[in-house]
This record gives sequence, C-alpha cells and structure tokens, in this order.
Amino acid sequence: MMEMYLYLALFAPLAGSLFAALFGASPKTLWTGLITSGLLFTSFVSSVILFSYLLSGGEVIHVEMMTWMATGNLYIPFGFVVDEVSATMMIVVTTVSTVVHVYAIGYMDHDKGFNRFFSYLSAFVFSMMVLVMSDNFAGLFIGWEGVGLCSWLLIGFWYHKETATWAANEAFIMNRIADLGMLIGIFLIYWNTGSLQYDKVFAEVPYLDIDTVTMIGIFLFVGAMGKSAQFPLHTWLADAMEGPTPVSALIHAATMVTAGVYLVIRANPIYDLIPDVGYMIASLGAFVAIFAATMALVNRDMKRIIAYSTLSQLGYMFVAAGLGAYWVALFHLMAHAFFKALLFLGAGNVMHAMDDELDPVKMGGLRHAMKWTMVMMTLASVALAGIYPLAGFFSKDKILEVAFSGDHYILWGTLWVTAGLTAFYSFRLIMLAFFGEKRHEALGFHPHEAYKYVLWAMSPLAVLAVIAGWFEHEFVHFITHLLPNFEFHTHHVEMILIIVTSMIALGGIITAIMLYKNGPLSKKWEERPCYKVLINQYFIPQFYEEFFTKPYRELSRVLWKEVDMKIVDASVDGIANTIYGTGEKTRHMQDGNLSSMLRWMVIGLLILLTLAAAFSFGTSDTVQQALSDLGAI
Amino acid sequence: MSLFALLFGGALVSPLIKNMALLKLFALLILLWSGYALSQGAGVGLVFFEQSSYVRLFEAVVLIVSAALILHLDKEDHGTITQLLFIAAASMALLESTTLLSFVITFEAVSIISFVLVSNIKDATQAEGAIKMFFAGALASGIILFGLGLFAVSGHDFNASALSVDDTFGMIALFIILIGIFYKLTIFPMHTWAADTYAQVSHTNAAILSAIVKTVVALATFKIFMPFLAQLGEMPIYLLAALAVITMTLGNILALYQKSIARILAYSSIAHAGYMLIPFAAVASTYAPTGLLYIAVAYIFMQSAVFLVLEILRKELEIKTLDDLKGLGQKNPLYALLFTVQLFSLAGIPLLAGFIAKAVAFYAGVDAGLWPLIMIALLNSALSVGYYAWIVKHIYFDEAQTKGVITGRFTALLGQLILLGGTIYFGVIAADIFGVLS
Amino acid sequence: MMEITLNHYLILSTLLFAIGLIGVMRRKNLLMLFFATEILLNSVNIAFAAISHYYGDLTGQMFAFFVIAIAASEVAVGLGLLIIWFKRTNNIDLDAMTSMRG
Repeated sequence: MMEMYLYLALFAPLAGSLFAALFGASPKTLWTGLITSGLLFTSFVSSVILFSYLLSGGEVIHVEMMTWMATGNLYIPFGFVVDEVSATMMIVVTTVSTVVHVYAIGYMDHDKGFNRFFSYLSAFVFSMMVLVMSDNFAGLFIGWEGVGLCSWLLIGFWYHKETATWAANEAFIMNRIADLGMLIGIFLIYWNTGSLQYDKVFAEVPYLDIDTVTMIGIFLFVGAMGKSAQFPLHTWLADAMEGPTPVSALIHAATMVTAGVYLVIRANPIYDLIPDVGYMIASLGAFVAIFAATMALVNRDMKRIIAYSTLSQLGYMFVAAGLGAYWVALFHLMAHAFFKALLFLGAGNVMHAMDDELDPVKMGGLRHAMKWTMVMMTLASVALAGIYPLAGFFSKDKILEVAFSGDHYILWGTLWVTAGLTAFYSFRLIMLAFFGEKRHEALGFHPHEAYKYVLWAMSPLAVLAVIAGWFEHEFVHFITHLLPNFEFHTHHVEMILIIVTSMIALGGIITAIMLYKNGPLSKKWEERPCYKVLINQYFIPQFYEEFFTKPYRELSRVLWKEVDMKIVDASVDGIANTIYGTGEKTRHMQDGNLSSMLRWMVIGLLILLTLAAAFSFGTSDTVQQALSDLGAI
Repeated sequence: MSLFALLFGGALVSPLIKNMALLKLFALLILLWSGYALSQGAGVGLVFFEQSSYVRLFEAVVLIVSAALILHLDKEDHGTITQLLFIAAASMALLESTTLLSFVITFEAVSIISFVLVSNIKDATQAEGAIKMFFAGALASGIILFGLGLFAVSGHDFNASALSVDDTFGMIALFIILIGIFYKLTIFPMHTWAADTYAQVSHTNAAILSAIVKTVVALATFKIFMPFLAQLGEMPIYLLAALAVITMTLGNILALYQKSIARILAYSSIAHAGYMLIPFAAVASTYAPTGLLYIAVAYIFMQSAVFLVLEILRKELEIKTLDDLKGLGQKNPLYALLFTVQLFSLAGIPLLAGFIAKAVAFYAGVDAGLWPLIMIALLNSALSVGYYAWIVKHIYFDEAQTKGVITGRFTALLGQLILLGGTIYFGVIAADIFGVLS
Repeated sequence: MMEITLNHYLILSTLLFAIGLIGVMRRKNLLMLFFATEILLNSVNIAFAAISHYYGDLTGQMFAFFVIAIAASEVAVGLGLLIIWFKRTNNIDLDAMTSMRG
C-alpha cells in the first residue's frame, strides 16, 4: 500500500513533465500549468502520507523496482527508500515545488515558452525526487546529473539573453567537473565495498582502511561542493540568477543546491569515521558563510543578493554537517528552503511590478503598491535573520550552539559575525525596495501588486517560514531514528548564546533600518576600495576568466592552428628529412596535407615500435636469442 | 542457414533490383532473415569462425543499426545498400574470426568494402576524403601485412586459435599488427586521416565508417588480441594507456575549436576511440570485455544517429556549421530533440547508453589500477560536455534564423527512432550486456 | 656461386618495404603514391613466399595469393578514385587537396 504512494510521489512529476512536453512547441495552454501543478500536488500529498506513516512509527519503506546491472559479483538495482531523511527531503521538495508551480502559472503568464517551462520544471522535480529517494549511490548520481541537466535548461530558458545562455553553460560545466570528483568517490566505494547500496556500503565502511575512507569522503564532498556552490566553485550560482525567478526559488534556493548538504547527511556513517575531513568541511562552510555574506552587503541586484545569502546559509549547513550535527543541518536545510523560496518569489513579484528592474536603489516606497509582497518578504527576512520565534531562529541558533559545543570558537565567531551581516543585508534590501521615497516614479515605473492567486500560492511558505521551527523537539525525536544524535555541551551557556546571537541579529536589522531609512547611501561610498572589491566579487570571476577560460580556449586554438597544422607537420617533416638525409628542403607545408598525414603514421609507427621494443620486449640478449633462433646471422 | 551466406548473397543479388523501394524492402527482409537466423543460433559457420554469446549480442546490434541505416537511405544511395550488406556480412565474419589469419583476411575485406563505399562520390570534397582514407588505409594494410610477415618469420603459426607468443619477435610482430589496426580505430598516431575523411565524405558514409566499422573492428581486435594483451608487461600497457589519453585529449580539444558540425562529430569520434582503448589497456580487469562491449553498443547507436540526423539537416536545410543550427529547436522540434538526446548520450549524461558505457569502461580502468588514465579520461569527458552543450545551445538557445521545416521521409524518421530506442534502452537496462558474460 | 638463403629474401623484402614507406612519405604525385603502396604490399609477398618455402608450409604461399587479391582490389578501387579525382580537378598532385583547413 505504502509502496503505491512511493511510486505516486516519484512518478507524478514525470507524468506531468511528459504531458507538458507533448505541448512543448505549441503556444500557451493554461491546462499544462494546471495539470502539472495538480500532479505535483498529488506527489506532495503522497509525500505527506508517507511522512506521517513514518512519524506514526511505520517501518522504513524500501522497494526494488528493477535490476539495473548484474553480472557475476556486480549487482546494482534501481531501488528506492523512504526513511526519515528522504521523507523529510520529499516534504521539502514537493512543498516548495508545488508552490512554485502554482506561482509560475502567474509569473510565466505572458511567456511564449509557457508549456516548455512547465515540462522542464516538472522534469527537474522528478530528478530531484530520484536523487533523494534512491537507495544507492548510482541512483543518487543519476538524479544528481538529472537536476544538473534540468537546471541547465531552466537557467538558459530565456535564450535570447546572451548572459543567460552563458550562465547556463557555466553552471553545467562547473557542475560536471565537480561531478567527476563524486564519480571517483563512487568508484572508490564500489571498488572497496563491492556494493553501492547505502545500507551495505555503510555496514562495510568501518572495516576499511582509514585512508581509503578519507579519500572517499573527500571525493564525495567535491561533488557536493559543485552542486552546493561552495568556494571555489561558487561563481555559477550568482550567474544562474539569469534564469526565471521561480527557477531561482525552486532550484537555487530550496532544492538542488541543498543536494550537496543532503549527500553529506546521507553519507554520515562515512563522515563520522573521518572527523578531520568533517572539520575541513565545517571550516570551508564557515568561510563561505562570511565570504558570501560580505558580497551580499553591497550588491545592487536583488536576486544576486538573495543568491549570496543562499550561499552563505549553505555554508551554515555545512558547518553543522561537518561537525557531525547532521540533524541540525537537515533542520536548517528545511527551514531555509521555506523562507528562502518565499524571499525569491517575493523578489519575483517585485521584478514583475518593476518591469524586470532588479536594482533596489531604483525602487523605494514599494510598500504602498505591494503591501502583501512587502509583508511576506519582511517575514522571510526576519526568519532569515534568525529572530525569535521564526523558523530561522531555531535552526541557526542550533548551528551556532554546535560550533560552540565542539569548542570551535573561531567557527562560532565567524558564524556569529555572519549572523549580523545576514540581518543587515536582508534589511538593507527590504528598506531600499519597500521604504523611503518612491524613487521609481522619477524613472517612469508603475508598480502593481501580483495576482491574488499568486499571493495565495505563496502564503503556505509564509506560514511555514513562521512555524517550521516550533516543531524542533518532534523533529529531533523523529529524525534521530536514522541520524546520530548530537551531544550538546552547552546547557550552562545556552541562554547566553541565544541572547548574544539575537543581539547581533537585532543589531544588524537596526543598523540597516537606520542607515537606509532615507534611501541609498551617498555615491562617495562607491569610491572606496573595499566597496570595489566586494562589488566585483573579490575579482574571482575575472580571475577564472583570465586563468582558466581564456587559456583553455587559447590552447584549443593554438593546438589547431599552430601545433597541429604547423609545428607537428614541420617536425614530422624534419624527422623524415633526417631519415632520408637528403637535406633537400621540404616544400611549403600545406594544411591538411595527405603527405604529412602519411608521414605522421609512418613516424608514429617507428616511434611506437622503438618505445615498445625498448620498454618491454626485453634486453639485447633476448633480441640476440631471437635472431639466433632464426638461424640467421 | 549461415549468417554470412545470407548477407553476402543478399549483397550479391541486390544490384539486380533497380527499384529503390523494392531494394530497401529486400535489404530489410535480408536483415530480418539474418536476425531470425541469428536467434536460431546461426553463425558464419566456417572453420576458424566461432560464435559466442558476447559476439552474438553485437551481431544483433549491427543488424539493427544496419536496418536503421537502410531505412534512412535515399533514392540516390542505390549502391550504398549493396555495400552496407557487404559490410554487414564481412562484419559478422570479422566478429566471429578466431585465428589471426581469418581475422586479417576479414579485416582487409571490411577495409576494401569501406573504400568502395566512400568511392560513391558526388563532389570533389568527398573524393578528397575518400582518397585520404584510401592511402592511409593502404599504408595501414602494408603495416599489418608486414607485421604478419614478421610473425611468420619468427616461426609462428598464424592459424593457431589462441594468440599467445613468448618470444620477442612474435611480440613485436603482433604489436606492429595492432598499430596497423589502430588506423581503423583512429587511435593516435594513426588518426590523421579520420577527421578529414569523416567530415568530407557524405554523412551517411561517415555514419557507417565511424560507427559500424569502427566498433566492429574494436570488438574483433579485442577478442583476438586479448591473450596477447594479457601477456604484455607493464610498460606496453602504459604505452597503450598513453595512446588512449593522447587520442581522447586531442579529439576533445580539437573538437572545441571547430565551426563545422561534421568536424566536431569527427573529432568527437576520435575522442571516443580513445575511450574505446581504455578496456584494451585495462585488460587485466574482468570488466574490460564488458566495458568494451558496452562502449561499442552505445557508440554504434549514438554516433550513427548524429551523423544521420546531420545528413537530414544538410539535405533539407543546408545546415553545415554551428551558425546554421541556430533556432532549429523552434522550427523543427522533433529533429532537434533527436539530435539533442544523442549528443547528450555522447556527452555521457545518465540514463542514456553513453553514460553507463563510459562508467563501465572507466571502472574497468580503475579495476586494473590505471588511476591516472581514468582521472584524465574523466576530466576529458567533463570537458567534452563543453562542445556538446555548445551544439545544443545553438539548437535551442539562439534566435531562429529564417528556415524551412523538415518534411522528412517517414522511413528516415523510423530509422532515427530505432537508433533512439537503442540509446535509451541500453541506457536504462544494462542487464542485457552484463548478462552475456556471466 | 653464392647460395640464396632465406635471409637474402628477407633482406630484399625489408628493403622493398622501406622503399615503399619512403615512397608513401615522399611522393606528391598521387599515382606514384599509389605505386608505393603496391610496393609495400608486394614486399610482404616476397617474404611470405620465402618463409613458406623455408618452413615447407603452404600457408604462407596461400597468404601471398591472398595479398595479391588485396592488392588487386585496392588497385581497382584506388584507380577508380584517382580517375574521379582527376576528372574533377584535372590534377593528381596531392598538394591540391586542401579544401578542409585554412
């Protein structure tokens, strides 16, 4: 019975995607939007049923759909599992994606590619469900690549924008490179344990050599770094904001980017064995948290600010996961998904109202025209800043406690400062966009509130952003069936920590309100070097362009134009000349010349033979032997 | 009924049929009959030829892909059907050959029919491609025969069924033969002709050459040379691994710079030859045969499909360069999709055959302990996504040029669907291929 | 008078093979290139015939016939190609084949 719900949850989005794909090329039909949303809702309901089944003490549901590969000792089935972790992820994924689907009906209203968009979006949800529900690393990897592919399609959805297609390719290729790391990790796992099933692998891992486990942990984390856009692979996330806003809300806030965190949580038996790697993950997380938050301080693109904030919060999650507090990471992942998706959808409303203008400096005073959007975005920002009693307070505070509890005071300090920065940039955005003078009037904008049903669609997220944290104890009780519990050693200072953290968050909010209550700061600010560094993202994109992209392009060109066509031909000719000893000058080299091709082949043959003979087939003795065998000489 | 006799007889009779539709029907019937005979356990049925379940699976795949090709063919390609049947017949024999002698004879047969195939010329460019291939091929034949002569000189019987030698001369002789065969596999340094030829001859011929002939030769070579490869010392294995690395890297990097789609596909084909060499180097692993079979099966479907789609695009819309592709997605969504799926399979996206094929072949490398090789191969396959995605970007993400709609014959589309089916089937269900060796 | 042994045949064969290789690399005239490949194949033939005689085994001679067959079919196909090429371009210089790069 429960298996039916499992398949329903998994395949309903696929059905929706295929249905929408049928009408992919035809002009907008409202039905595709409604039907895909309906199927997503079905998936959501099934996930809730499965979740509550587990909550009421049901057994973990494990199905094996079919055998994928089997030979001798190799056996990889397509299997799915619904346990506490995947059920939580399913709830997060289906909730946010249902909301986003309904929202997108309004948002993509006038878009020519309406049907195509829903087809991609549902395909993404399906891949994400495969990723979280798979019971083995092979299925995880398939979902992993699937979300990458769909994300590529969705970022580049507005292909008439050159920047969008560029961003799509950047994200895709960066992710592919990181995926290599993960694939090596998976190879290593299979090589050493002979299985890819989570349960078998995790049972086997403790008996492995610690160096092997370390390698596995590091390589898997490289994959996670790509998907979760951790430094130094972070640049794609901000550029991915070129895609439609519902995509940013679903993929680049709530689901796909958290896949890296999910991987670390899922592989907790591996990371438990290698606390050093865990500490490295946590340190990188803390660094990314503050690094991204500083970039968000000055940015003048609404969506990029939120994207940096996502990066920063992913850093928080990795701190928790790296220090072994897996359930805390999952808890923050869940809370963050709700309020960050809400924030993005609100930004989408603003974008629509402002004719796709994203610079908050050009807005101001939008609260009059867009009251409900303002309320929801403020709510989400308060939750993000971590103010009691909203969702972010509970989850973020727990992460700080984790850091403090392990005596990692530097990590704690970093995160503490970041909490202040988070509150500051969130409210900088709110103040600039919704309060102060109506600067947009001078620029000729006529903002209007979004459709009613769009606002209603967003409301569940608003409610969750408020209440998600209240169920902390129930969640802990539920999730620790599967994940290890974390021992806090901070009971004596718990209240002090909470107060200190809340103080800096409140401080950040108040500073932002005071600074920006009269609109943007003066232009003088922008002259300062530190502003320049931050607005240019520490010059990292330029660095990549100069030192990776350009040289690679150049290498390809040079290999083609210079090496392949001139140098190689010339040198091959030179060798040929030496061999004949004619000294006659070769004729002018023609490109693509058959003669030089044939020379390549002959010279190549000779070189290979020499190498082979020299390397292996033995010393001169054996050659002598061979010759005398022949009766020759 | 012997599989070889059926196909060969069909090829001999086929020029008598003048009506193209009838001829296609005839060829399909011959292939169907061969398929039936194959399922009944028929092989070549001569001495020195032997069938195994490993070979049988690939023979079935070759028949299927040949059927798809025949469905694709147009009125002008009258001779191509005959040559395709000849190639199919010779491929069956090559795949089933068990001794060095029968292997070389059938290899030369495949080679010469390939020359005949490309001499089906419509313009000077195609003639240029054909001549390049011909002379490179003649040189390769010379090298192979020289190796064979050396093999005979050292007193070996090239009719022995298991290819194992223990003396230096024999080793060197076999190595020379292997290098000669690399010409057909387009392995560095014998790859030089391939990019030009694949890009210059008609795309249909390029499909036959780069997909069917290459995979058949790879598989047959592996089968014959496995005992020899297993005997090789560490250094020759490293040499093979180095050749694999150079071939794939060269192919992938040069593909990046091309403007012509046919040239991108040609270089991608060279890069794939590099991947195919991995199981050769990883012969110590028990996964090597499976890896090669998988990569051959996946590759024969996807590579023939991309060239055939390109042929349709060229014929109907004059599409040759990347710029011509712009906006194909809007005007011709079906063909755009067919092209895209196969390109993604080449790029190694999961749930398409190309992914598992690479994964298994790479895993064989890991299993044989060739870590550096696999690292570079993985890096290569990640970077290759760059140019595959670049093609797809032009298809979907660029503003449409004014362009017609492909009317496309039904049979050509049917051929494409067969190839698509293969790419997806072997991408989702791996059990068939893993099954043949267990 | 000196007796002609297997070695002499083999040396002749090797020399011819080398001549063929050099021809393949050096010749710019397609027809001459063609002859060079024929020399390559026939040098191997000499070796096969001699080895066959030396070991008293007919396989080598059989194989020599096979090589002749290969050479003949290559002549047929190759000359056909050359004629087509010549008709199209009025030229059998291989430096004229440059339509691909540049």
